[in-house]
Amino acid sequence: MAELSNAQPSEIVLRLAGVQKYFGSVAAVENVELAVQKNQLVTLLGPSGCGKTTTLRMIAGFEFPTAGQIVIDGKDVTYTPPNKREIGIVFQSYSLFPHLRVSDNVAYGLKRRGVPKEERVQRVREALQLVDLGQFGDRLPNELSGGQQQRVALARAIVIRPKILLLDEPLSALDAKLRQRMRLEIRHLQRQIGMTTVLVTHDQEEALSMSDHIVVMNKGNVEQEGTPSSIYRQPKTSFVASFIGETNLFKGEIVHAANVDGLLVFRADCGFEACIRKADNLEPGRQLLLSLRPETLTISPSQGEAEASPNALRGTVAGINYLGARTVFEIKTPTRDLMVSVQNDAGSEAPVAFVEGQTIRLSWTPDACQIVEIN
Amino acid sequence: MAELVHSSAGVSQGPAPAAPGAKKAPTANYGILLLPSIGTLIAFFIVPLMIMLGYSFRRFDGPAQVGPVHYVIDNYVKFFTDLFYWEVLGRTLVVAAVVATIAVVIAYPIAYTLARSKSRWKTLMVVIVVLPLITNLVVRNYGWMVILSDNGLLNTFLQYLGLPTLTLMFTTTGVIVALTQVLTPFAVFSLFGVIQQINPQLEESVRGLGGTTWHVVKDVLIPLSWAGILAGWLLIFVQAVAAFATPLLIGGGGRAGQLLATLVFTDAISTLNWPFAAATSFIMTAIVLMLIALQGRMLRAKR
Repeated sequence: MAELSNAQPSEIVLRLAGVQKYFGSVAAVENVELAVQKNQLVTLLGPSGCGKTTTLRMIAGFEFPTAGQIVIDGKDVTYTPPNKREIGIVFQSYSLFPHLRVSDNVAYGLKRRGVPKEERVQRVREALQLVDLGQFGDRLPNELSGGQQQRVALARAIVIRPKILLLDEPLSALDAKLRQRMRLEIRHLQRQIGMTTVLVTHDQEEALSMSDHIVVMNKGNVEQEGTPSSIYRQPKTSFVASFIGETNLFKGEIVHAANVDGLLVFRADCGFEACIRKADNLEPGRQLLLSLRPETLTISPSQGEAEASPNALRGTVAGINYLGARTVFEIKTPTRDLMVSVQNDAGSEAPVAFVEGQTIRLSWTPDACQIVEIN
Repeated sequence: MAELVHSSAGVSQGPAPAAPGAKKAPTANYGILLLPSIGTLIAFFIVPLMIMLGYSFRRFDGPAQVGPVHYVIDNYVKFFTDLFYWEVLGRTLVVAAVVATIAVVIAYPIAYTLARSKSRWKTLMVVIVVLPLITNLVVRNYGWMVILSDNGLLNTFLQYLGLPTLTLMFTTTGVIVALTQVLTPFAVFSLFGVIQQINPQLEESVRGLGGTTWHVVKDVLIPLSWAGILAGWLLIFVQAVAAFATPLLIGGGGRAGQLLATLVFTDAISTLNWPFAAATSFIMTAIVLMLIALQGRMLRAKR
């Protein structure tokens, strides 16, 4: 289809400025700023009711903002109806036309654009081949599996060469295995044809694996945005820290500088102390949250006597969840429970060297400590 | 754990002996429940219908008389050789078709609004739609007379606006208006069901792909509600063919009031020509049955 674009990577295709949407007096979207660069896949991620779908529907033109501006390709389209926006949209429910054959479904947008029949047939064939459904043009949608229907919906959306492809929870109706494969396929396709894409999902794994850029939304606002790894590694708020991936959060405060250069001491309200990396905004006395990802914690057998060293805790193994590639331990400490994830050795016969009820020692490095604002 | 196993074994033992009995039960007993309705249907519908069919093949032997058992097709020949009856038949079909078409067109937006509505006034809207059906037939038709007559509400209003007045009372137009009003709810309900089945996102898909409202209607709504459109149209057509009170009251004694059903009514009640009335009834029934067969064929062709 469209050849890989050689446009400047910084070219902004979609911009949302101060976009708000109220339904009556209820704010679905309070204030969203967004800039999507050409050929990037940007994900709006958040729990249901966070305003991500409303935002997508405003980009598509199915809803008009109460305030703010939406610009596609330099053109203000804030109040332009959807049929004049040059967008392609894939819904969660596929919403293929059940009475039209697959090829007619894919051809529909071209027909509406007055593409001549010959070119139409050609482009439909290419699009179906692109999604690996070259042989299925004559079928009716209900003769295809869920994954195939989703690919038809994708072909129908991209065949019109939209300026932006919008994906509204496109994989949530599929089973887990297929969902993972479709993630890769969509991402691959999106890269291959160079399609600026906005994806809406509540699935953080989907967001992390597919996106160039993630916008985490909560209660109608953008909570944080950035690359997948920056969102995961440096969550700015407790909402982001707990919504993206698993984490152990501790409330506490900075007490003083550590003996070692470049480190500060954080004292958790539940008692232990942790050395963390110094940063500009971390002055003593501030109430903050400490986030420790399960995979950054190390378990070792306890020496018996209580260690007073920082960045360590004593606890007992309360639960062991063997998950194949890794094992998740539930650790009981005197004050609270933690989750620890341990990568299993490939060749090891007994990946779990600990038993339930065993007393262990938990430790972590200063780099594992993520400091999160209380909000 | 041991307890769990034990209890599950107990459960599996329970139904095992009962299974053969349970297998027999449904087929053996449930048919009996249908007997009263089937009996009623045979006694009060099929049998009288057969008697009437018999009448239609007998000779007219004077008012309220049924000729001796002497099977003739005179009554049918009379109907199809007299231009007058052809005219009545034609008028009936045209009126019914026009009423059904207008009713479906009016009903569609109403049914669509109801099907898509999330309003808490939805129940009230449904009641308003049903209202014509639960209004007494005489009251309803006298209401239309008050509106449609030469010095009625409508013409007074038109005069007030300085527009020319209309003659609607005792005209075919008047009959069509009154029939359409009372029969529209049938179309609303047969459409309501099918429209509710249409995924609203299909409409958004059309718009997202560059279609306008017209395309939504033409490419999604009409094809996907086609069964409801046909069913509603036919339901109303059948009832319009069979309607006799409204043509009698609004159409009057002139041509406008002469439709098949009023013809049967006059023959059966006034002229007391029962064999001919029976024959006319069966011609009506045959037309309706043919249309139902046609509808079935159209739906199958669509699939």
